[in-house]
Amino acid sequence: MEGTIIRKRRFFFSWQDVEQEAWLAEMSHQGLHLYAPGSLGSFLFIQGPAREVAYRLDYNRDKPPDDYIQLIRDAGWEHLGLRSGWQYWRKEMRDGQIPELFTDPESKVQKYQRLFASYIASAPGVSVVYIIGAAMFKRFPGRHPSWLVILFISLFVAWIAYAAFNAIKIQMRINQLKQKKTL
Amino acid sequence: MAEKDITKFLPLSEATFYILLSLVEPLHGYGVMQKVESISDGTVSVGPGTLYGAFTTLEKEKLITMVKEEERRKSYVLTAKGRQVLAEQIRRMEIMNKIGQSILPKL
Repeated sequence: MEGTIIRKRRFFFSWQDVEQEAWLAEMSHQGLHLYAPGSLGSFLFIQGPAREVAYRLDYNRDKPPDDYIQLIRDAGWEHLGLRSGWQYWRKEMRDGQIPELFTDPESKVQKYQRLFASYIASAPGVSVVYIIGAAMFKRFPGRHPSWLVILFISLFVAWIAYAAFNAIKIQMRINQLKQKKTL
Repeated sequence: MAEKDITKFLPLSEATFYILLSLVEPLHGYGVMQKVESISDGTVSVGPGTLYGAFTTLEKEKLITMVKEEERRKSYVLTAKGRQVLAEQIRRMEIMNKIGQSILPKL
């Protein structure tokens, strides 16, 4: 029914912005328009007539300046919300032209570099948690069941693997964008 | 010294060239986007994210300066240095165009 809000869940890695944009455009094509990004990777859609629109995601770890947001609004983009540093924008397609927030590879690269930097920035926090945890185990040996120690180490290893995987994927996107060479 | 200071920015990218051209008069961001599109006959369009980054870089390099800020909209205009850079770019393009035109029939 028109105007009904529908929640959908779909998992995307943090570097899969292009995939998210394509999926959201396809949903609008089917009459489900993003209302806001929801919690835990969910998406809130509002039902309505099918529309041809483009979605674009922009990444900023810290709140971007007001004049930055204003400029994007002035350019005709609708701000749909913010989730873990990602800003969701939508704009109507006109004459089959696909609107873009970033029109050159350099500024697209900079967006992925901002994302990459936020991963690096999160590393000290996780390391501190690990060091405190390890110190506790050492200080009170025998008081912890061995499964807890194993769980603790496994979680830490899993986190490192996940972060490394994401970092590599982001770097691959950057390399792809940098392929265009000036002769 | 001053000469080298200017030539290090050359050649300008197509987008930067049009952004600087549109800032001979003070203009805010969206005004620049519209002007770039119109003076390039629709061949160049600059997205707002890209333009914001360009403003930041050009302001840092002192090629443009902010003249006004109202309702979260900043207006910029070329500095003397920005005008010199743009004039030098146009001079070089003239030379390239002249030699290019003479070679074109042989291609």
